[in-house]
Amino acid sequence: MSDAAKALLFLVSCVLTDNFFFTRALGERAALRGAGEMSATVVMGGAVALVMAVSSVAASALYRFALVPLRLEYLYTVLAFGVVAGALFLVLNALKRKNPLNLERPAALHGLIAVSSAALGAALIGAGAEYDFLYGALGGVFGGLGFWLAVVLMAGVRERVALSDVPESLKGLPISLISAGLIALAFLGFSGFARSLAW
Amino acid sequence: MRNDANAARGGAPEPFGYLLAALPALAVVTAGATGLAAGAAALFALILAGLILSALRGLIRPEARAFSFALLAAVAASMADMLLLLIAPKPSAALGPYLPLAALGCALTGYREFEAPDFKAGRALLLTLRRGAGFLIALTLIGCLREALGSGALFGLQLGDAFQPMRLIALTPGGFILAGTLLAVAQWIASKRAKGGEGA
Repeated sequence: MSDAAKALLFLVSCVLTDNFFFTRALGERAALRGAGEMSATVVMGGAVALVMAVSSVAASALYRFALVPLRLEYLYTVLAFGVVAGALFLVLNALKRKNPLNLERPAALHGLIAVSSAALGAALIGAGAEYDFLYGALGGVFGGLGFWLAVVLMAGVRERVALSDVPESLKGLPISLISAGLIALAFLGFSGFARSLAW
Repeated sequence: MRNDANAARGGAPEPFGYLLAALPALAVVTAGATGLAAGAAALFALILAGLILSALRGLIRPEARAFSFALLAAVAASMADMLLLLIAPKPSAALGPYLPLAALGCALTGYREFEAPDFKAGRALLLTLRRGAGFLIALTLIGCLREALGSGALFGLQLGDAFQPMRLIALTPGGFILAGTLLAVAQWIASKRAKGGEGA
């Protein structure tokens, strides 16, 4: 199989079969709560995907070219979190005018909370022994695209649910979680596809 | 209710909304033992980060407090991961990279108790302990239910041949649906208690 075909299959597996939210349950705050209106949520999802991509590349490089040679792998979680915070700061400064996470200033704590599980998840999973630097970094980039898809899908579901008559005890998070479960069930249909390149 | 961020934004009140931080564990908590391990790690990380921050609070400038807490939470999550690898290697292997993720997310939720202007160390730590107990109970309950319904066992003990497990519950979609159902039940109980308190 050519490298381009392998990369394409890897993209499909990151977006569909091993989606960061629907398969790995990461990025829960961004996907389940969104940012209010659909347009703001799309921008927010894109910003989180960008943070995932940037932090995944940087963290993968840090792990493979610095920590592994120096046998300091146990420091990876803390350093990866620092990389995520730095990536968030850079991305939000670049997107200052849009301010997609509605922060008062870049890298505020709730911004970190919003992206931490998705971006840190991309960094930690990418450091697995089965991936080299390229696929470890690409996993975060392609995973970010899949996460963006998940955020947009959940925003659409929330808009439909808002117009429905939902029982009181199901309002808010419960109905969002059940809806996410039903969409995840649909994504389960893609499992087995590109399994050999599972991320 | 205090700390109900969603209600503050005009949404439905979510007294258990903070449990969302434990959601990353849903992908791998498919047994009671792993749920207990993940919950214990989250409790440990939450309390450790809170203890260190309350001790150093006076020495850290207010504008640096948020990032310092986040970094402390990351250190605490890392320590929880390493401790669990020593104490319980099988659940640690099952949880993999999701353990520090869940522990970190849970630890970060404790910051609200430490940023209040009327901060008192004892009260903040008690609230943190209560929150950590919530994570422990939630993750253990979800792990037990997923193991019982999805595999027909509980902490490794088979429940009997007559029971037909529902494989879906042990997968991520089933985890989402189960978590949503449990949250709905918890919110229903909380609203009944609130109405009963108003009526009295």
